[in-house]
Amino acid sequence: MSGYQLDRIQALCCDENQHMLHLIAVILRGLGVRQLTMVRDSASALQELSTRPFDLIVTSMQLRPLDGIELVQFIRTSADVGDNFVPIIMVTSQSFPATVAAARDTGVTEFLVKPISARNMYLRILETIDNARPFIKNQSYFGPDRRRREEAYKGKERRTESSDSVKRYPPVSPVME
Amino acid sequence: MEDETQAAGEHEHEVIWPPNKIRQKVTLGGRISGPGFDAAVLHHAEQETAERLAEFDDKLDDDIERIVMAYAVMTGDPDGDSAAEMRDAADQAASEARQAGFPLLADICLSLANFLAIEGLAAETRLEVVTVHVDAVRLVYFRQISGHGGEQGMELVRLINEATAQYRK
Repeated sequence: MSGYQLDRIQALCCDENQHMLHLIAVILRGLGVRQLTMVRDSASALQELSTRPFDLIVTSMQLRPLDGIELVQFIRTSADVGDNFVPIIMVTSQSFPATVAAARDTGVTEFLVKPISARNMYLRILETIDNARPFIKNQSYFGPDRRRREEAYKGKERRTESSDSVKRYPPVSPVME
Repeated sequence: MEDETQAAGEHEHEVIWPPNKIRQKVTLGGRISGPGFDAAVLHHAEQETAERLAEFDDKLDDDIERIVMAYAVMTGDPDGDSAAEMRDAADQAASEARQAGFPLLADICLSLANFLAIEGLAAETRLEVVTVHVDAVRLVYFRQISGHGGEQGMELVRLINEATAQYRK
């Protein structure tokens, strides 16, 4: 048996566009994810999140009534959400650096800029599994460490995992596709 | 879960290592220790999605048609409720155009959708700005300008930005 078994992952997918939602579902199912919940607005997403924890959330930036950024903010901070640390992959039409930075500052784990493909989705999922970052909590931010591991850390090394446990995949820049 | 508090100058922050639940699941509790990447799985997913990707062109056709039809209604009745239909179509088209490889068209449709979300504008003013967008949509779509459209695309984006700048929040 090779590769991770994604069939036990519970994923929540949220996109206003029905065709995009179906495309995301087809990709995830093709990758082996079997437990998918699909919603077309953020109110339904919140309702689903209040009923059970998910292992992975794939959401669009453009949503209503809460937009994608507000939804992520809620997931990261609300006591009504079962797991505030859940990996969130944000799918966006907008590759403007300012928009991506705003989303990153609310606690998005990975970005997927359209056009999306099975390969890009797969690499982002593997990134969340293999290179999970610690969470940072301060007065203005709660979410995954915004420093990527490629950056040299100049302080005292506190991480307990050995470097051998870190797997590398091709770079996943959010704005260069 | 491992927590630690670090003092970095004046900014205190807490570093939290949450349990990697997703990893536990996909490795079947650690029983899979090899590489996570599986080329066969990816190949299967790519095959499954190929057909779905082709449908985006058809859906984009439909939503561009909805924009053009809503515009025809709006020109005849600027105070009517065609703006809601046009906004929805523009929202959908923006998403589909980006996926179908027309980022310039996606940007114009997104700008149109965002503009139509602004409340309280006079009908004539709204129609004027919508006209700029719809003309740009027609130009890009019917000429099938892919990518960002080079200098022509930059000029279109400049016109759109100029038309909407004063109405942005």
